[in-house]
Amino acid sequence: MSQSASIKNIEPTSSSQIKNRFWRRKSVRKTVHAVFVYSLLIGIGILILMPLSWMLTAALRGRGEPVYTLPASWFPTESFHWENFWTILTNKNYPLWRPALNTLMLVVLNIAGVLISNTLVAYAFARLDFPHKEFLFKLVILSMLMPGVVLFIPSFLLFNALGWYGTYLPLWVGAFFGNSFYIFITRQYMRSFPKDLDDAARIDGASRFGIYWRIILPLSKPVMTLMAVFTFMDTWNEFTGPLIYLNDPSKFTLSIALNYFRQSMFSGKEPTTNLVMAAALLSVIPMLILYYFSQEELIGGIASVGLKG
Amino acid sequence: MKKKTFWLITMILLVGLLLVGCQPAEETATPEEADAPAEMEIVTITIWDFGGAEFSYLDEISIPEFEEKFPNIIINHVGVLEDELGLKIETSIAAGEVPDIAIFVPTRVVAAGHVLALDDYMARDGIAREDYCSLFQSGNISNYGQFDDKVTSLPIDSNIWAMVYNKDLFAEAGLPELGTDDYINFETWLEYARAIDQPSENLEDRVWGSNMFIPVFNSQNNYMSSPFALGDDGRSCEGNANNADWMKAWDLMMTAYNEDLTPESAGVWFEDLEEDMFVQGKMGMTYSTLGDAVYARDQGLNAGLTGQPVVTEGWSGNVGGWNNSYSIMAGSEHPDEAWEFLKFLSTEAPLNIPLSSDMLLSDEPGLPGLPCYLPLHEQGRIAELIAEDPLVADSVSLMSHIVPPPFTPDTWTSFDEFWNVFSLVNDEGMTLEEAVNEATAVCQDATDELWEVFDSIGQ
Amino acid sequence: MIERSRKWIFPSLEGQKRREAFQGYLFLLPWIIGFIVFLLIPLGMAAYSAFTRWILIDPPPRWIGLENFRAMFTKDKFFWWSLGITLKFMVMTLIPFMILGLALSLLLNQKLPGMNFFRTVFYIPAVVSGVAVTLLFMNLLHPEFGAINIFLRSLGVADPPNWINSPDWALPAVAFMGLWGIGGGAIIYLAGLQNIPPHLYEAAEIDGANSWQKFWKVTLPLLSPTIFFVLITGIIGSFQVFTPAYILGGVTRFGPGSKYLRFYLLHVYIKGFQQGRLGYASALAWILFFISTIVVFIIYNRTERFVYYEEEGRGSS
Repeated sequence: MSQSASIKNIEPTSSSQIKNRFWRRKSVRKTVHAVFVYSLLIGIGILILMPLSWMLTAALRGRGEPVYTLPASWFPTESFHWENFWTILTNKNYPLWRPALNTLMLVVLNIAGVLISNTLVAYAFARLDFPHKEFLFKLVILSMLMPGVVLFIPSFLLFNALGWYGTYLPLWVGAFFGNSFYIFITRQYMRSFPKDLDDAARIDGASRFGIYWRIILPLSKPVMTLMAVFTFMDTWNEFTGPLIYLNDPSKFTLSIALNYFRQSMFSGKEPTTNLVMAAALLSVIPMLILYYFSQEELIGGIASVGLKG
Repeated sequence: MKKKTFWLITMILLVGLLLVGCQPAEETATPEEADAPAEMEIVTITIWDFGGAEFSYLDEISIPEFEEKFPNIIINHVGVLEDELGLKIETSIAAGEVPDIAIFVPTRVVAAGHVLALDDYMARDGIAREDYCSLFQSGNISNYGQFDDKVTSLPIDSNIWAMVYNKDLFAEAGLPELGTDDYINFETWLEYARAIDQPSENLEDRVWGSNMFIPVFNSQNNYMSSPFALGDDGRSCEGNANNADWMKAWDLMMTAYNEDLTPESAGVWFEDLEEDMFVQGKMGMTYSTLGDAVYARDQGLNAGLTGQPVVTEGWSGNVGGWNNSYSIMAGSEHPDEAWEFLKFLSTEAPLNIPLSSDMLLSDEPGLPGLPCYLPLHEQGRIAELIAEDPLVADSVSLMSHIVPPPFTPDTWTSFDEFWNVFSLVNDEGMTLEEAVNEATAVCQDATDELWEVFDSIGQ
Repeated sequence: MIERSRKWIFPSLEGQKRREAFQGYLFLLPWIIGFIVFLLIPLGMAAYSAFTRWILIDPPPRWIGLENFRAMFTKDKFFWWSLGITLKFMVMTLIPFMILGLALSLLLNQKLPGMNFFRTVFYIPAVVSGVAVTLLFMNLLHPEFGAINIFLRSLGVADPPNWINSPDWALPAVAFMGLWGIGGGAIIYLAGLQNIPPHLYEAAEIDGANSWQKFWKVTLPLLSPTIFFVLITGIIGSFQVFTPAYILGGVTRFGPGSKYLRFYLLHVYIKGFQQGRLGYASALAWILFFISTIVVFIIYNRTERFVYYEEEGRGSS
């Protein structure tokens, strides 16, 4: 339509008409649109990244240097004390390498538990037939809605009675007993496999467990990856569990270690904000790395969650 | 990407499994165990306090000293966050995994019988209650270690919460020198603060009149009134924390706040930069311990010690006090060994622990006050200090000003709300009277609740 | 022998089917055990303890009937207060965040190159742990020296808020932290947007719809399940704020611990663990459960008719 210039009569056109036609050209509109979108996105992106960059700037400040400056420094331009990261890991007051390893160990245990238990249970729901199957699955869904709040205190009492207070046990044993959300998505995923696979394997004499292990499980790698990534994230960032069950600082996980670090360092003469920021940054980096490698799964997974919602 | 991720996860799993294998090894063997002779049974005693710089003297001085004397006992020093200590003690009791020794055991825990009575041990080893400083003799549990007429904790040190002031700033402002016999009230305090205050736009030249003496934990001047701010029974905020004397004191504090004589007006609470300002000579008066005064003096400041402003005219109790006291938990599996360490800490260790700042908490390990065990005052380093150091001598005499308040389950929780008085006035637009009454009401609720739980223990 | 025991468990099935059923339950075992031990039993304990006086250090629990609930409604000043704080926060953040998240997702849904990159960047805050975020923003929101206030002052704002220490701005400070993580919600909307079949837009264009009409008549209705999902999870989430409240000073004894950040869950924590009143804290937890269920229920009923499912048309059931 904007190419109407060739169809119309040849008449003198005023400058404003020329301008209007300019703006109405689709390609111009598209460019303006793109510029608009990109500038918004870049602007927001900068706003999102600025706090992290401030964190880096503060983390690189040397001992005794003011972390708070006027005007505020968003980029590390003056100080580059990379050794701060080493200091937090190995200082004599409260070295952070131990909490980091503790957390890693918990992550591994949790991932193992999640992958094992949820795939087993989902397989049963997806592929096997047994009485009350529908009812049980409804229970699974129902338990997804259970709020943690109410279980907060009784769980503590339960683990207490088992003698697990002060140990890591409450923080990973649960993973080996299934999680209703993961069961749900895994089952959905497993249901999409053609039933013929199962039947063929059965004819060949495979046991149910064999089918699970040799066929279903390898096919479920994507959803397993998703669960692993989610579990990594949840365990790495978990705060309230370790807060309640751990009291020996040498057992602390990174999240409470950060808080402990901050408060115990604060009682010194010099403010140690730079070290606290370095510690925080260090705790965030593994997550960022994981995120970088697993973006597709993570974001795809969240997306599908929202759709099922 | 998906496959890569999968293998990344698998690798992490493998690495982690290795770690799982390594974990237990960390917790059991310690280097000293290897040195100890094979026949001796190694006992590990766990002691809980706040850790950090404040208690580094344990790690650096006292524990090594003790472990040399007692090679079969290993001390495991665990630092628990101050805010969490009571909670952790309680949950550990519920879980049956108590530490052997713990600091500042909450009063309701003591009342519930989870702490050992130490009288038998004391009698056996020749330690009498009377050997301890006046603070300990008051006989109530909060900090002072006695319940139901039994000794439930032993103090290490005996610390005053007095006022340290900058003699030079005082002299510059034409103010008199204050000593241990001088008593000032809040009117005088305001006068002095005004005289010392030097306003300025930049931080270098700014000098504040004083630190703010709110009746909460940091200044502990809730002792400085008669009746005590919680009443003689320790149960009534109403009528005591908001009586005429206190209202007048608050009014004077508010005036100081509005005239920008104290750093509090900047509304900045964390970073604790205020204490540092005193040492830099930028503040006329502040609350502190002996250790802080000595520290300030060692940094070149001309520091003097005197009492805090009193709320009630003529009241002699112008100094607050506290001690670091540890109890042996009833659930401890090695009470005898725990007692050895506690006894050592209380009756011997302070000889080798230097004085150090409490509020400023410099990196130097040390205690902020003199030992509470009086025989130590006549021995070695301590005796010398008292004889030769005027500040130390002052602290001894100021200690006699302390009038320990009546027992109440938890002073700090009761008085917590008074932190907010200034913001209630400035941000919520209350009048000062309304704000103090509001804080008192919250104080009363908190105190009632504390007593309710305390009274119901053992029912 | 195995055959016989299976026969006993599943009497009505035959041979093969019976074996399958048995194996099925075997696979299901972890979840079944978990459900009983980690859900039913604690739930039962929670129900029981709410009616008892149960002090952490002074067991055993003692039945006191409705006393906890009575005390909660009449004597506990912080009960109503913390409920108020939590609801205030919810109202403050729920709708604005949803709108902003939606706007952001529309932005990300443009057919321009590089959207994936931006999507990645925007999602970063969601993977950062709550503790780290809180510590970071504690520094950024420092009233005197924080970068945010310095920026505000440079814009000419004479008296920037005291943020965490001030009654009016403490909640907004926490909201601000949540705002940083808006990418999380945007991703969910994005998925929903990308699921809308393009032929619907083409059909709309043919009918002469402009962008605005396309949005209202096509995008919104088809996005409504997603929006609904975000709404419900947002409500539930705002009742469960804990970490920022805890770290920013809701709990400290030795400090001005801001009562303006006394979220409900923090209150439960303080009562249950700090003060050791387990029975009372359980009662509090149940009240929270009921309130959040009721809120979700109300919202569900009110808005369900707006949710448009592609197969069924408006307001399915």
